[in-house]
Amino acid sequence: MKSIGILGTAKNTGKTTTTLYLLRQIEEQGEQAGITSIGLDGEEHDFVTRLPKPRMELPCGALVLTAERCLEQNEAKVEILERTGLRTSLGELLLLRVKESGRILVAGPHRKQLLEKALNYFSRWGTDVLLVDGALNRAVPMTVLDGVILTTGAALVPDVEGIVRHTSAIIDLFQLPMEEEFTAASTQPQVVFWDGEKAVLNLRSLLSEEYLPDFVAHINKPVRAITLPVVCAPKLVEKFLKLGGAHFTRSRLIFSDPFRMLAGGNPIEWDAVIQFHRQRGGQVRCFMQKPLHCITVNPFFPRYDPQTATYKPDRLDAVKLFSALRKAAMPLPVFDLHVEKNVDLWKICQGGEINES
Amino acid sequence: MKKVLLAALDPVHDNAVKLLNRKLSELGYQTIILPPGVHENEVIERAIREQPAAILISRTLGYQVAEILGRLVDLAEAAGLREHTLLGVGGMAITRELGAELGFDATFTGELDIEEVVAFIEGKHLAENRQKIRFRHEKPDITGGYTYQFKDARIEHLLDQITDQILEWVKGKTTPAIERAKIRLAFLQEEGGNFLDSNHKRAGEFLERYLKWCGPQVQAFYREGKLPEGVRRLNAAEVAKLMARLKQMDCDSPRLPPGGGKPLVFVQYGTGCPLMDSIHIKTVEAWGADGVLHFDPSWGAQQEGLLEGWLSHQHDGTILTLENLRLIRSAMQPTTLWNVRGHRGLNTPEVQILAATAGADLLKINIPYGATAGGSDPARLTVDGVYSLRLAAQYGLPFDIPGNDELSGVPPYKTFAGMLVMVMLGLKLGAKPIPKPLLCYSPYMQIEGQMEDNYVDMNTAKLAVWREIVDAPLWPGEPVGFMTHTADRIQSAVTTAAHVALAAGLGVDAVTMASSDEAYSKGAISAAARVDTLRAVRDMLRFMGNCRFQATPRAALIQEQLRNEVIAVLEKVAQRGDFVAAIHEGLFGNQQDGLYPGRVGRDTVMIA
Amino acid sequence: MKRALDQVVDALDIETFVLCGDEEEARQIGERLLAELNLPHGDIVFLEFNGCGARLRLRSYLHRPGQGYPWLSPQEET
Repeated sequence: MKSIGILGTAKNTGKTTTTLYLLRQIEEQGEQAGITSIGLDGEEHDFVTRLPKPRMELPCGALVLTAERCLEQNEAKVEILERTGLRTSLGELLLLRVKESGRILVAGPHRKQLLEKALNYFSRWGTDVLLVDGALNRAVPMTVLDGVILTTGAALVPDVEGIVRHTSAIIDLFQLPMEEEFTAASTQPQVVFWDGEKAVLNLRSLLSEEYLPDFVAHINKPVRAITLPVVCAPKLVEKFLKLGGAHFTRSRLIFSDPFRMLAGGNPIEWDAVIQFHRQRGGQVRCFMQKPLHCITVNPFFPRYDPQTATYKPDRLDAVKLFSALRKAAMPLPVFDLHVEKNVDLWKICQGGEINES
Repeated sequence: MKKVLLAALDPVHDNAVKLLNRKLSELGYQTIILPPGVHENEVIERAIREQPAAILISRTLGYQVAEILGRLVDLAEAAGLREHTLLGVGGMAITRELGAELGFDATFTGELDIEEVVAFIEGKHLAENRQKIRFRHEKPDITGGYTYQFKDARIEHLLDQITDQILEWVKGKTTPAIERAKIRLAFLQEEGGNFLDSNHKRAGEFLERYLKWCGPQVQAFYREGKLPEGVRRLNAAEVAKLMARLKQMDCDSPRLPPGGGKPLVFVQYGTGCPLMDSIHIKTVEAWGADGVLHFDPSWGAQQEGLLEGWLSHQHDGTILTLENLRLIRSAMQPTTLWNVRGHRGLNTPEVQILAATAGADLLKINIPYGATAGGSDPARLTVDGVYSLRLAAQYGLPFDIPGNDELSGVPPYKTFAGMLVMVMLGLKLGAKPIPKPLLCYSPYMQIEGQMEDNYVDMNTAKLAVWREIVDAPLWPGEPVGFMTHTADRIQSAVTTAAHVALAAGLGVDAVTMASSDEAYSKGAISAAARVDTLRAVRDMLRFMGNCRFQATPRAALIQEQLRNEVIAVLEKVAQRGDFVAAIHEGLFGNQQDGLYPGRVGRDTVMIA
Repeated sequence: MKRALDQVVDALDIETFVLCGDEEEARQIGERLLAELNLPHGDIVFLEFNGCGARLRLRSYLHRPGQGYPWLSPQEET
């Protein structure tokens, strides 16, 4: 079974479009599709009606993992295959098969442990491809999946440069090389000095300044590598590096994985830290990596009009946007699925050739 | 005991968290409370160090709530906390959908429910864990603990005289209502219910006997199936749907404060439809009412005989049939007190029988009121009334004595005189009376300028004078605050709440309260309006606690004056030596007071 | 004559009571009611569920502070 996470950088960036696009292709290939989400899929409320809309119109035959209470919003005909015993705040997670197509509210496993268990259920029921709907600021559970697709667009920030900067920073995180030399010996950070000595830092996270001076005190000679398999706030990492001064020059920073990094801070902040360190001859690695298959972009965004107190659709210059993004993302493919109807997303996710449209 | 980390992610508001902190500590949890406005990074840092069983977050501001909380959840996940630490969230900015979307393990909405929080921390599901707490375990007896001793010898003596004359006068007399009542009783003893029941062998026979004493409209109903205007039969399907719906409703709820048992709070119903009434009753039960009073349409009291079946009526008042009453009773919680009105008109005795059979807890009988403002002939109602009191005594059901004739313009001392006669009459017949002085801004008060400064003095005096005269329960209504309400919802709720609180402070046993639709006459009272005043009363009683309103010294003066004036009326009535004539001659309220002797049922008293 | 809705200073409130099974359902009913009545910028101001039903106050903000106010314009024929 192959699992793919759909990571949206903001609402209205085309997560559903991407998911449904992929679902259709999986169906066409004759493969068994599965779908779930971390948290509650979809807009909380429709702009006008303020109702929780089931966004996903799921095809017949798809397997879905969703919470019991979501069935109250069900428009599709489903068969309950299994009660998993896994619980969320919306009730027990049920594995369903769609018998007649319709919209379903999908609220799946809300944390990593549950998602891991959920994979087993899908696998046992013969799922070939599992799609997991998620968001950038809820990315950590996705470490258990095989790869991700990023969806972004003008809804994140309505200017080309902003989108490009943000997306580049994320791509960078997913392209950090995997560490091959050092291992995370423990769950605590470890410093390896050039003279061979090692020191374990009594740190379980790098989220507050309080303990920084203590840790910096350990940095009394040139550092070869520092493993940081804990959640870190990028600004504090930067501060740590600055306090350590020359001892960190040409050192290697090893983080756990891009998801944990994103939990600690936003991509732009990480970009700043990584650039800072690289400029001083340093390297940045991750213990674990996941393939970022491609990026889909939505140039549309809802612009709020205070005069009428309503939202009106607006868009950025798509040509300018895509040109800039493709350049920045190369060789990673970038698509506008509203316009490009023949993208072989499925093939791309399998590691196939890029289909130029 | 488990460790719980509490944090308010608002710059200033952390009261919910403080309250939670106290309650959890009292239950033995080890709580760590972070200062308000703490950053999500700090929360996670602390949680990593403390390794709590649960982190409970509060957020009231809507600004950036999804971003901040989402980040916190992801941080918790990234820090590996979620394997052994539960994440819960609550606060004004949080909806269940938002909590689910952000990935919290539980979302708490509405008022703090400590049981829910504890079940969450302990990893239990509330549905399995929670024992349903029953708030009411038994039906209170309003008359319990009262001796009914008269404290005023003069008044007692006068009442003695008056009631002896009444009892002597009714001897050997009967009325069509009494004859119908006897037939009804006999039929019920043979397990009869509907006169039109084809399965009962003798139903037809009983019906013929019954119809002999009935008026033309009732006869037409039984013989031709003719329904009065605006009345329709409910069908079995409708009733079945209602019963099914009622089964889903669990309306056992906390009593209104102070929870010490007094006063019992009653609400009137009578939308015209027993189905609608049932829903209204469930609603008021859910919002803390202790009892309900049935109000029937006035035209029903003006015809000889009662209808039968499930009947719905388009205007105010729900028709008195055994089936309607039984239906309504089945909608109630077993512990809800139920009073059925039958104190005026041509069917008083029979109504007592139906009410008692259907499971009523209280009856309502007041002869002077019913024979004037109620429109019934004094002689007829006296005979019927005495018979009804005997029934009440036999059934062991207390009866209340309303004082609503004040609304016609009658001064309170005359109303009270009439009510006192009923108290003594009831006691002599072995029944248990509950006087109901009306706390109102009556026409008399308005004209005489008696309540210009405040509503406290007069109402305090009215209740105090009763306490001074006899050791009996007091149940002001129906409802309190009459004529102080307007159609404005808030004003109506405020005046109701104030009156209830005043009465509560004066130690009354029960009180009947209005809805906020009290002054609206163009349609039935709405369910929302009932909730409005029950909520207002709840809060007002909470506000007062064990405090009372402070009357001015004028109240004592009014009290004394009332007592003297009551005595003066009773003296006149005793001297007259003829109770029925006394009513006719206006001794309990005359034309100037806006009262006229009733005419319905005139010349229908017979020799037995 | 101008629309009556234009004469409302700011908000329209609906006070009502609905039958429902729990608070969640009450909330959904409240939101649907606003939608069915086609009222913009709706919100549930107050909701209390007890046993059989819920007391609701729903609000629709017709004119928010800082927007244009139709009630400031002179009377116009439509």
